[in-house]
Amino acid sequence: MKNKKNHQTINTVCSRIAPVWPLENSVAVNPFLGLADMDMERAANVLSARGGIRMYMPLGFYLELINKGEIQSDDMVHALQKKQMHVSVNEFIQRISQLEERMVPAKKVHTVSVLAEDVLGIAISELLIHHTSTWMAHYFNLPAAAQTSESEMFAQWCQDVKHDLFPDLSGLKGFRNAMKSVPTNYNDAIDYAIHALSLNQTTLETYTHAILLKLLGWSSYCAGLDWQHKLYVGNTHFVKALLAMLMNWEAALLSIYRDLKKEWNGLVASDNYAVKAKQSDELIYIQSILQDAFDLAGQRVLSRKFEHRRPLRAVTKERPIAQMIFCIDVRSEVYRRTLEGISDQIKTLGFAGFFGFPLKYNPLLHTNGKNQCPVLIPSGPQVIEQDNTGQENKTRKLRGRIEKAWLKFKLGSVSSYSFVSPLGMYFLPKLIGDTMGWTTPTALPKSKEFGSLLTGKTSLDLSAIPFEERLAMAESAITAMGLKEFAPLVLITGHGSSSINNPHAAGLDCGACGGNSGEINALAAQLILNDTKIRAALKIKGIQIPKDTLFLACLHDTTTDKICFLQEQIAYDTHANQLQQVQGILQQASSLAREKRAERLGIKNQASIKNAVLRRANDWSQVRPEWGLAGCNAFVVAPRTRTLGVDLEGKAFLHSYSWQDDSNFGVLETIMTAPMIVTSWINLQYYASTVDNDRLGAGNKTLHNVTSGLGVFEGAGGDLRIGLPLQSVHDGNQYQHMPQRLNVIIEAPLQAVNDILEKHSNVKQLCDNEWILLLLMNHQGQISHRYTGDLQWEQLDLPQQQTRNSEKVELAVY
Amino acid sequence: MSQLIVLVPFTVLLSALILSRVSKPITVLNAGRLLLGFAILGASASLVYGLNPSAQKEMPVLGDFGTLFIIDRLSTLMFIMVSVIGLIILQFSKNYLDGDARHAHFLRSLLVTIGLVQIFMLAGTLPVLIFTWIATSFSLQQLIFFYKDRKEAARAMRKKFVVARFSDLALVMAAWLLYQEVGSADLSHIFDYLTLKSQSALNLELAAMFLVLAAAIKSVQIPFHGWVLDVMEAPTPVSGLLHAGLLNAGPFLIIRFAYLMDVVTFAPILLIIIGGLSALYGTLVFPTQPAVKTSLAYSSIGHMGFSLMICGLGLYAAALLHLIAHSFYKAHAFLSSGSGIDKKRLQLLRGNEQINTTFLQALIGLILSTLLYLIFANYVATAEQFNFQMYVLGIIILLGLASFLTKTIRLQNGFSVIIISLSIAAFVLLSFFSFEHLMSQYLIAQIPAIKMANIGVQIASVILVISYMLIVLIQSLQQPTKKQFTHSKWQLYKRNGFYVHTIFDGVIKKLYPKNA
Repeated sequence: MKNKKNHQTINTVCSRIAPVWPLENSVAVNPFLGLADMDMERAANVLSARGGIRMYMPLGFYLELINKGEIQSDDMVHALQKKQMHVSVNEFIQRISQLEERMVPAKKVHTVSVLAEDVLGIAISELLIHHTSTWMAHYFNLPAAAQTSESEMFAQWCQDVKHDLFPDLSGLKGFRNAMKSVPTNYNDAIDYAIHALSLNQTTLETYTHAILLKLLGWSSYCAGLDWQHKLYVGNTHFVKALLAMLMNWEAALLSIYRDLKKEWNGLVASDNYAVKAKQSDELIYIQSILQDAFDLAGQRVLSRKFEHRRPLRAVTKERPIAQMIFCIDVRSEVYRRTLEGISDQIKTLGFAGFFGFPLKYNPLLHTNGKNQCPVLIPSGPQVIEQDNTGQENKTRKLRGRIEKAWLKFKLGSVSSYSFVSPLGMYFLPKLIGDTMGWTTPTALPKSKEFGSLLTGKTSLDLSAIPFEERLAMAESAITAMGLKEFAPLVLITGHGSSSINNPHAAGLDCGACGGNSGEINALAAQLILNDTKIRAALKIKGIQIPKDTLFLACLHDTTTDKICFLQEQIAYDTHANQLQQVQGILQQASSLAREKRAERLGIKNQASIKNAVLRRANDWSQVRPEWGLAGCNAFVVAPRTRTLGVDLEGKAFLHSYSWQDDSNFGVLETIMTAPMIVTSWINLQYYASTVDNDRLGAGNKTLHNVTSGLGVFEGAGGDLRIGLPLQSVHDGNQYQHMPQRLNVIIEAPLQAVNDILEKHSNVKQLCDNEWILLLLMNHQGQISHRYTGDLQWEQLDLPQQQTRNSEKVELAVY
Repeated sequence: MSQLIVLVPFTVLLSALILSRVSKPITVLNAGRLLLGFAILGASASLVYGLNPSAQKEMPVLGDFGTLFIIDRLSTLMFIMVSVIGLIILQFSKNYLDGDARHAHFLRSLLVTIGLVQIFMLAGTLPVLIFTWIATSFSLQQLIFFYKDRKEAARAMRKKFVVARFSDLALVMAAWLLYQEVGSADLSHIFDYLTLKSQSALNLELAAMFLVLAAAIKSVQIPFHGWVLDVMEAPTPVSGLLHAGLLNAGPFLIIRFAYLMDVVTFAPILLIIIGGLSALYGTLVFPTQPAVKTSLAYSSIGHMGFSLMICGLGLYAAALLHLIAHSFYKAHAFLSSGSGIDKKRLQLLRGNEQINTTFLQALIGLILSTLLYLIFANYVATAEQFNFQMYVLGIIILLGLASFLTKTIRLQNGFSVIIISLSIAAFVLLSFFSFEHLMSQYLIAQIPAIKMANIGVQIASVILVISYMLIVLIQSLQQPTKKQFTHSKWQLYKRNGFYVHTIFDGVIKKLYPKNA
C-alpha cells in the first residue's frame, strides 16, 4: 500500500460488511453490523444508494397497518414528533399515499459495470457477478480452501483469470490481456485498481462499498472467515482480497473500452458521486417515520400486556419438584407458558442455551470439531467424544473408509456409469420410502455427531478442562442463572430442531451453541454440576447445592415440542419418582404446546396434531418445518415472576435476572454485552430478510441450489445467498415475521443501565442509533421508561390514567 | 382391459384443463394422485398379463384406437416409470410449493407435462409421436418459466426454445423420410417393414441419422446442452421431472426405432460418437461443479450420452436399463438436493484421512474386479451376454468396481473390510447381470438380436473404452494433496465445461437480440 489513507478507508469499508457463517453451522447475524455507527435512516440511505438494498417495507405495507388500526393515531403523532415533522397525521398520510407509486429511491451509485451497461448495452453487471461468484464457489469447494490465506486466494484468482476464456467469449474481448498486468499481491492490486479507476480519497469509500455490496453474499462469507480467524488464529483480510478482485475486474473494463473510461472519469470527478452525509431520500425519510410508528405500536402492545398482567396463581413458596432452565430463545416462551399453566410443580428459568459452558466438541474422527458457543466469543476448552467400547473408533474409521470409496465410486468420473446401471433401480424403493417418510434421504447428521453419546457407546470426555476451569464455569453459570434454591431435579434444557433435506436446518438450531443443537452443552453442564468434588468446592465459595439435587440434561425439540432426557438413567436410583412425575407433566405440556403452535403452522385437523407435526419434521418436501424465531420483537431481562401469565405469543426472548441479587451489576453487564447483542442480531436478521428478501434474504427455497457445501445459490447461479429464505418469514398469505426492532425490557435501576452503556460504547451506539429499543421495567413490573439516546430516558404514561383508547386513524384518502 | 391405460393420459390432460384457475391446489393434487395411481395399477396389471407365457409375446394393439397407440412391453414399462416418477414429483410439490400464489397452476402444468409424456411413450404413429414430442417441449417451457419475474428463467426458456426447434425439425425430417420409404405412418407397419428388410436404403440411412440428431438434441448432448444448466431457475420438482422424465425421450426414441438402427450402417456409429463424446464430457465435468444441481445437470448430459452410446452398440435392453435406472437415481438426487449441507456434515465425520493409491494397488483392484467379473460371467451370465458389445459395457462396469476396490482392499483395513468390499462388489455385479438379463428377456420380442458389430462400431468403441480406462486410471492414481487447486489450464477449462455452452450462448445471443 502506497497510500496509508487509502488503506485506512478500505479497511473501514471492509468492516462495514457483516459476517455470515457456512450453513452447516449458520447463526443469525445482524446484517447491518458494520453500519451501527449510523442511525437506521442514514444506513438505509447508504445501502440504498450504494447497493440498491431496501431497509424498510413498501409504503403500502405501513398504510395497511394504519388502516387495520395496528398503527394508531398516537403512534403516528409520536413518530412525527420524533422527526420534528409538523404536520397532522391525516395530512401526512394523504401526502404519502400519493407517493406510493414511486417505489425506488432516486440516488444510485454507479460502478463501472453499471455504467458500461448504460453505455454499451451489455449485461456486464451480471457477468461480473456470475464470473466472480462461480470462481469463489469453485475455490471454496476445496476442503483446504478455508485454511488458505487471502493472499493465496487472490494469487490463485489472478492466475486463473489470466487464462480464463469466459469473459472474452461472453463478449468482453481483451479481458484476459487486460488482466495480465494486474499485480499478484492483493494490496498492490488494489493500488493498481485505484489508479486505473481514477479514484480519489472521497470517491474511494463510496465506490469500494458499492462494489462489495454488488457481491454481498461472498463479501459476507469472506467477512465471516475474517471474523472466525480473528477469534481463533489471527487477523486475515479475505474481504479485502475479494475487493481487489472486484476492483480489478472493473478496471479491466476501462482498459478494454476506452470510451467508457472518459465517461467514468467524468462520473467519479463529479460532486454527486458520493452520498452526502446530510441528504436523505424522501421515500426513505417517510419510511423511517412509518417504521418508527410501527415500532412504537409494538411497544404500546407490549406495555399493555404487562399492565394487564394477571398472575396465574399466587406464587408458591414450596419447593418445586423440578426447575427447568431453558434457552432464552423465543420458542421456549411458548413452552414455558404452557408448562407453568398446567403445573406449579416445575419452575422455569431462561438463560443462554449454552448454559455458560462455551465448549468445542470433537466427535470421534471429526475433521474440524464443532464450536458449541456463541460466535461472539472463542470457544473454550475442547471436549471429546470418548470411545467406551474400544470398538467404536475403529468401526467408524473403517466404515468411513468404505463410505469414502463408495462415494468415489458413485460420484467419480466414468465409475458413476457403473454405479447407475446396476444400482439405479434401487432408488425406486428409496424414492417411495422418502416420500412416505419411512426413510430419510441421508443419515441424520446430528445422530451421527452425538448419537452414540446418548446410547452409551461413547461418552463425553471433559478431562481436557482443568478442575479449576470447570469450577469457574460452574460457579459463573450458577451465579449468572441466579440459582439460589435448588429443586430435587434441575433440568438443563438445551434445544434443537428436526428437519430433513433442509439446507437451512442449522439456522433453526440453538444460536447460543453456534448453530448447533444444544445436547453437548447440556450434557457437560450435567456432568460438571453433578460432580461431588465440584459441589464441595462450590460450597466453599458459598454456593450450596443440596445433596438431593440432581442436574439432568434435556433437549427441547422446537419442531415437535418434545422434551427428551439425554441420560435419564442416572436418575433411576435416586429420583425415580420425581422423574416419572416430571415426565408425565412434560408430556402433557408438550401436547398442549404443540396445539398452540399448530394454528400458526396451518394444521387444521385437531385430532392428529401430533402426527402432523412429527411428519413435518420428517418430510423431505417440507419448506417450513417450524417457524423458528419468526416474530421475535422483545427481550425481557427480569425475573420470571414478571412475565408469568403474560402471553408473549412466542415473540419474546426471556432472560431470568434479578438485579437485587446482582451486587455490582456484573451479571447485567454480561447480559447487555452478550445475550442482548445476540438477540438483536437475530431480530435484525429476521428484519432484514423480511424487508429485502432479494438482497438480504436467501430468496425462494424451491430454487435453492446448495453450493460448495457452505451456502446456496438461488437458481443456477448469481451471488451466494445469505440470510433467511422467503419461506422462513412468509407463509404464502402473509408475513410471519413483522419487521419490528427489538424491544429490550430490563428490570434494573436506570443508573446501572446507564453505567453499563457508558462503559461499552459499542452497545451504547446500538441503542443510541435505535438498532435496539431500550425500555426499563419498574418495581411493579410495568414498562416505565424509554431510552431516547445519549443516556437520556423518557418516562412513560403509567396505567392509572391509561384508559383512553387511541382512536383508529381516519383515512379520508381511501 | 390393459388398453384402458391409454385413456389415462387423456384423462390427466382433460382434468388438468377442466380444473380451472379457481381450483385449489389440493383438488388438482387429488385428481392427479387418483389418475396416476390408476395408471400405475392398470399398466402394471397389463404388464403382468403381458408376461404370462400364454399371452402373445407382443401385447395386442387395441383396435378401437386404431394404430394411434402401441401398448407393448417397451411402452408399458416406460409408461409405468413415467407415472411413478410423476406421482412422486406431484406429491413432493404438495408441500414444497405450499403457499405459492400459483401453486395450483404449477400442479396443473406438471400434470399436463406428465400426461403428454405418457402419450408420447404410447405413441403408435408418427403424427402422434411428433405432436407429443413438440407438445412436451412447450409444456416443459411453461414450467421452466414458472417464475415470470426471473430474467434468468426467461433466458433459459429462450435458449431451450431455439434448441428444441432443431430437434423438432430433425424428427419431422426423419418421419417424412420414413414415410417416403415405407408408405405408412404407423409404427407397427414401419417395424414390420424393417424386420423384413435386410438391406439398407438411402432414405433409411438418412431417416436414422435425423432420428439420432433429434434424440441427441432432445437429450441435451453437446453442444446443445447449455439450457439444461439453467433449468434450476425453476423449482426443484421441475428439474426432477425433466431429468427423470423428459430427457429420456431421446434414448427412448432410439430404442423405439431399434429395428431401424439395426438395418442402417451409419446412424449407430453417429450414436456412439455423439453419445460417447457427451458421456465423456459429462463425466469429466460433473465432479468439478460445486453447485449440487449444476453438477447433477452435467451428470445427466453424461448419462443420456451413455444410454445413446449403448444404443449405438446395439445393446437396447442395456440402454433401457440404464435409462430407467438413471431416472430413479436422478429423480431422487434432485428431490434430495437440499441435503447437500447434511452430506457435508456427514463428510466431516469421516475424518480427514487421505486414501492414497499406488499403481500396484490400482492393479490389484483391477485384477480382483476382473476375477469377480469373470466368476459372475461364468456362473451367472447367460449366453446372450457374451459378445463384443457386452464386453465393452462389461469393461466399463468393471472399471468402476476396480476404482472402488482399489480404495478399500488394503491389508491395514483388516479382513472384515475386505470381505465387506468384495461382497459389495459381488452385489453390484449380481445386480448388473440380473437386471440386464431380465431386461433383455423382457424386451426380447421388441428389439433386434445383438449382431456382430461392424468395424466402424468396433473402432469407435475401442477408442472410447481406452479413454475411459485412462480417466479411471488417472483418477485413482491422483493423490489428494492439501491444495488441490492446481494451476493447470486443463482444470480451469474443465471446470468451465470447456466453454461449450459459453460459445453456444454467444450464438443464441446473436439469434435473439436483447429485447426478446
